[in-house]
Amino acid sequence: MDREPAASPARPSAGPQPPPVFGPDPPACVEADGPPLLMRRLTNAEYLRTLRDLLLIPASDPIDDRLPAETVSEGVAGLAETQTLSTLHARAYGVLADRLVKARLTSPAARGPDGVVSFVGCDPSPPAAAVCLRAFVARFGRRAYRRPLTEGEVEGLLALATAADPAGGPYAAIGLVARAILRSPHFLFRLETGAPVAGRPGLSRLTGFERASRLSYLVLGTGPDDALLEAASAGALDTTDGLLGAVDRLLADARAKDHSRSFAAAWLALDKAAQAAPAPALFPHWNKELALAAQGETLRLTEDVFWRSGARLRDLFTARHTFVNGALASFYGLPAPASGWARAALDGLPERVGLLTSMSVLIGTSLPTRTSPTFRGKYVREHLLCQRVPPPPPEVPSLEEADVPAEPTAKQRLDAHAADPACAGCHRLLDPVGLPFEVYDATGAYRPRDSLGRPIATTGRIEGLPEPAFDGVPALAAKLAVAPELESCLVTQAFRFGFGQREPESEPCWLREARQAFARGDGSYRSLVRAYVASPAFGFRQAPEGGGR
Amino acid sequence: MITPRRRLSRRTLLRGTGVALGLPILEAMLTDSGLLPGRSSRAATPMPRRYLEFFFGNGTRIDLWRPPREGRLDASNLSPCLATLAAEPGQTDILPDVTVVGGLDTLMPKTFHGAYTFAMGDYWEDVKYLPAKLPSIDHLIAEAIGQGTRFRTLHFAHEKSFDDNAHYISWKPTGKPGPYKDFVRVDELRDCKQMFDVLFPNQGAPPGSAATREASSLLDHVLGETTRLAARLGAGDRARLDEYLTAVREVERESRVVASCDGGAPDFAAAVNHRDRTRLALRILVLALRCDLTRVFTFTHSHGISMLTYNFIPEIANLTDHDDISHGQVARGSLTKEAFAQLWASKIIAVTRYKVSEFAYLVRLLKDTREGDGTLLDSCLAYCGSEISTGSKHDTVDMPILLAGRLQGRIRTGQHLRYPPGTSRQMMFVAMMQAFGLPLESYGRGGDGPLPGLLG
Repeated sequence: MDREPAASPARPSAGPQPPPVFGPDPPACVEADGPPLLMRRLTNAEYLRTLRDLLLIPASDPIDDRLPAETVSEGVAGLAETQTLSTLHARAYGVLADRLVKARLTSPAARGPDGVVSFVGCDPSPPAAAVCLRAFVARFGRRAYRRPLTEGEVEGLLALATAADPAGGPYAAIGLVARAILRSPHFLFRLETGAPVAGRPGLSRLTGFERASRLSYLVLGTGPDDALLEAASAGALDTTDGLLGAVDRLLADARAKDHSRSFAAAWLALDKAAQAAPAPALFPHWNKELALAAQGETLRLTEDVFWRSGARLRDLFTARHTFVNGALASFYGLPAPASGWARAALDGLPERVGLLTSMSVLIGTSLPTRTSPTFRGKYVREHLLCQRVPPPPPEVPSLEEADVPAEPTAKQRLDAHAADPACAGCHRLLDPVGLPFEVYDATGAYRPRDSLGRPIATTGRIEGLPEPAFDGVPALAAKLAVAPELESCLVTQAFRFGFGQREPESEPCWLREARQAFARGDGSYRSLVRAYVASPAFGFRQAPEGGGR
Repeated sequence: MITPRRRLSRRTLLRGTGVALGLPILEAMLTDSGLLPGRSSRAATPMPRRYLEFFFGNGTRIDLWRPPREGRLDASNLSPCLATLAAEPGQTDILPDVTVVGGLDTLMPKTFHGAYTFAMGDYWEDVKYLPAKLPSIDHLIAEAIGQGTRFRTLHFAHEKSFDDNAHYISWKPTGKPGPYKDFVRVDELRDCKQMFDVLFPNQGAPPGSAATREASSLLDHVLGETTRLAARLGAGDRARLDEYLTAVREVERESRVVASCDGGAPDFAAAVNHRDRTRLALRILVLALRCDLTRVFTFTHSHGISMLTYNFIPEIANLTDHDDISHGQVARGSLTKEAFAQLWASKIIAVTRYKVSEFAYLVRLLKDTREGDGTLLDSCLAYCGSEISTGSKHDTVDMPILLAGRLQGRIRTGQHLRYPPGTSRQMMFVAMMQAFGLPLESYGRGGDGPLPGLLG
């Protein structure tokens, strides 16, 4: 599956054609097991990025969006099943379209050297007003709807343009049309209607344009650019080789690096760290500057592992280096960089290795006032191994009722929970994984002894992995890094991220094939993206219950 | 103790439907534009009726919540947790307007699933993914009283840490079967400034102006385009698109209802802690009632499994609401078991008093606001409670419930009512909805009739 990219996206007609995987007959695997996908609206992040691209709003201009928060389910935001679409959304979409279009049409900074508003692309003043308007509708519409507009759609928008305020100046009609396009369901939804597959009700083969959207939102988190739409139009995305060629081009785009952070954040629940607020009275050393620094560290470390040549994603857990600024260096006990941020070797710090012992993960798995070994164990199970941990049982004994000695250690506290047979099953899986993390406090600071000076045990056990016993989080990290479960989980996470949906309970064959493809590759972010795109499921959609089309 | 007339049943009434009405209007109720005809006409009542919810997370300790005696509620009949209902010197006395309802059971399993059962008559197995089985009562009541106002309902929540479905207390009917079926959660405003801007937008362009004509053409265009697209989609996708269509129409309807009063200019920057922000949000919501912009609102003071810390309250500074206070993760030091239990109880009392004091603030604000010949509170019914009873046990029997406001004489207040174990809380919902004129005989698990003792 992990083939070399085609030399050019638009292949010459001479020479043998690769098998058209998106031909009339879907691959056996999709035939049996097509991915049932709910229709999604753009997530808040996708919507805002696409809006910026369409209106050419610089990244430095903040957008006060007022969109309702995405539903987070088990740490994953914006899944199709939990997406909501309320009047708050509709109101925000309308207000944003009106406000931003107006701002771009009137801001001197939004004009090119020729005095023309850049996102409009032509001068709508007479005598070329009608020509410019028609060109704008076709070009802007194609980028926003992520496919060419039908003749009927063009005519509909031109008819709308006649309602524009006659006293509104040369851009009035353009503004009205842009405001309509930005409220359109063709823009706001990831529509995938495709072409029906004969004999398979509900299964459809995506059009080239729909595949372009899947690719672009996967790699860049925004709608396809003109070049990708051209490739789709030329049929270049109809083969796996063509798709992989397009993926390579997108991965070379500077925005891909940016968007890979979104994948890292979803996979590793990094947003939690950003929201953490350790209690100031208990952790006087912690401050906002450190919180920002922790995010900066995670961002740089993931970027390094995702994009450095030869790096594998699992190196994230075994990296013997990190990135620090002055504040973070003094927190970890590393020499401060001369200025700004610098790569720092962790040689003198045996207790620190890779992401698991970084401030972000340790703080994101803690409560404001204390650590939670259970949360930390759950984090490893759910995010790194993709295992589902059931919620606690209904009846939890409180500490008042449980038999706990005065001044309990973290372990004694949890042992009291686990003594209850109803709790024991899960806590046996979680606590021995999380307890060795106790040497890091709720802000991630290293503390080999607890508040009463008792040494904290670092021995742990991760049931389910070969040789489950380990001593210290660095040893756990090393164990995880070579676990096939981690690699397999990475592919699962990629599909959740790409499809915006959880995988079926019974492992579908296309997911299995993608896992095999990733295992054969070099373990890099690029090979993960390629394994996903080359999957037979990529070009198809099984409509949800009730029928998609 | 009040004994319900009916034999109580734990069975789920018509599992999957759960709502049984005295009149055949179920279908109309479940469509997005359907009106639910109330029995009494609005024209006959001098002031509009209002329904409010005040939710707080993590429950309390019911033995510290329950007032000592049944019957009249007065300053001598308050529990440690409810002490903040009593007026301080110079404050309006609200005890004659409050009823403490004790002993009610949700008839649902003890749950970790959060807040969604607060005003909902049934539960479902996997709350994270599946839609609700019922609308929550605020939307049923809004069908009866919220039709003419700019916002049928308004929803505000404080806490930003949980955006899981389980933490939303309001669920409305979509009227559309399919993968996004039946009842969907309602998104909440989270920010006082945002809420204020939504309620009191700068008045738009005057009717007949070019901008108004543009807006109306724009709306027609989008509605036309969406409708044409829907016709091409299968039922599954169409259901999602219909949500958008409904939302666009609703926003358009809101824009046509002109606000009759002005919001002034609150000082947003002055609200620095949770209490300040709570009171600011409540003042804005009460203003929305006074201006008749809405007649139904829900307010989430704190979520289920709330991890908030209330550092401005000395007794519980640097403790999280959920684990440290509710579950007794309080530094025990060398205290004896008894001394520790006492310490823990004092923390629970402190945190519950805070929650109750904010509900009391709302009720007092309503009572201090004149309307017609009386006060705003006269035409309100406010329901205050949590998703669980005793926080550390996550139990759902003997729920902590306060009602306030006489709803123009329909609700009896100033009392502490207790019901025998196993009495369905949903019977209280039935009584409340009947008080709003809903011709409804049952709702949810065990809600087979109105709770006796409540209706005036």
